Amino acid sequence: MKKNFYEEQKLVTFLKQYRPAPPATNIHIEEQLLAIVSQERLSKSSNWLWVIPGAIATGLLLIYGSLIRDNFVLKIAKQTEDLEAFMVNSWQGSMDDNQELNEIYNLETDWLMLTKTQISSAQP
Amino acid sequence: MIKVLADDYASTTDQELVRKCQRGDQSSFRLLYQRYQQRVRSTLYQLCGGELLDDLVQEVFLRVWKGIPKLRQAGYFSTWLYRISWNVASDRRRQFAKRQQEQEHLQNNSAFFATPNQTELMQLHYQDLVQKGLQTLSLEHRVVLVLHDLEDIPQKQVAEILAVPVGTVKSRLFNARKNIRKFLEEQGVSL
Repeated sequence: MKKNFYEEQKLVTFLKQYRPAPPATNIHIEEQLLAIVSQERLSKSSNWLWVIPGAIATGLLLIYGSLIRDNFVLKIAKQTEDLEAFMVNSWQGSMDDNQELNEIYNLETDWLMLTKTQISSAQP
Repeated sequence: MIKVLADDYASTTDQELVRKCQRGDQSSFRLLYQRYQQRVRSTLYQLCGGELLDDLVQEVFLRVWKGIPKLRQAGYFSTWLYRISWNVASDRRRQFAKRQQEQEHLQNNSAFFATPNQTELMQLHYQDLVQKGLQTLSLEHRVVLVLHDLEDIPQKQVAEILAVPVGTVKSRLFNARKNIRKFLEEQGVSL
C-alpha cells in the first residue's frame, strides 16, 4: 500500500516537473477581452431599448383584452337581467293563467259574502 | 502606492469580486481574469494543446462574463470556472484532435533546429513525452489527471467540476495514472 503511494507520488512529481508549459500569454488578450466585454454590455443595454416597444404593445394588448372581457361580462349581466325579466314575466303569466280561477273563486266568495250579508240584512 | 493596491487586490476575495462583477463592474472582472487566467491557460493547454489557446482562454472568460449574473454561489467561482474550461475543452475536442495531428507532423519535421545543451535536451525530451503521454489518454481521464495531479485540485472539487461522483474521479485517476505510467515506461522512462 505504502509502496503504491510512493510510486504514485513519484509519477505525479515527474509529471509536475515536466508538465509542458503553455506558450507565453499574449499581452493584448486582456485588453481584447475587456473590449469585447464592454461591447457586450453596450449591446445588452441597447437591447433593453427594444424592450420598450414590446412593453407598449403588450400593454395595449392587455388593455384590449380587459375591454373585451368587460364587454363579455356586461353581456352576461344583460343576459342575466333578461333572464330575470323573463322569469318574472313567466311567473306573472302563470299567475295570469290562474287569474280566471282566482276570479271565479273571488266571485264565489263574493257571492257567499253577498249571500251572507243579504241574509244578515234580511233578518230583523 | 502600487504595493497598497496589490495588497488590496490580494485581500479581495473571489466572492467580493464576483458580486461586483454581477453588478457590471468590469475592473473586478479584470482582477478575476488576472487571478485565474494562468491556471485556466495551463489547464486548457494540457487538455487541448497550444493551438488556438488564446482563443480558448478568451472564450472561457467571455462565458464567465456572460454567465456570472446567474452564478448564485459566489464561493464556488473557481469550481464553476474550471467547469466552463472543461466545457470549452470538450466543445473543441474534435476540432483540436484533427489540428493537433497536423501540428505534430509539422513539429516532427521542424524539430531540433535549435541546439540546446544536454540538460535542456533532456528537459525538452521529457516535456515532449509528458505532453504525448497526456494526449494518449482519453479526455475524461486526462482532465482528471490534469486537475488533480497537475493543478492540485482536491478530488471532491474535481467531482463537482465534472459533475460526476467522487468514486468516478478516483477510478479515472487510477486508470489515467496507470496508462500514462505505461506510456512513459515504454518510452524508456524509469519511475
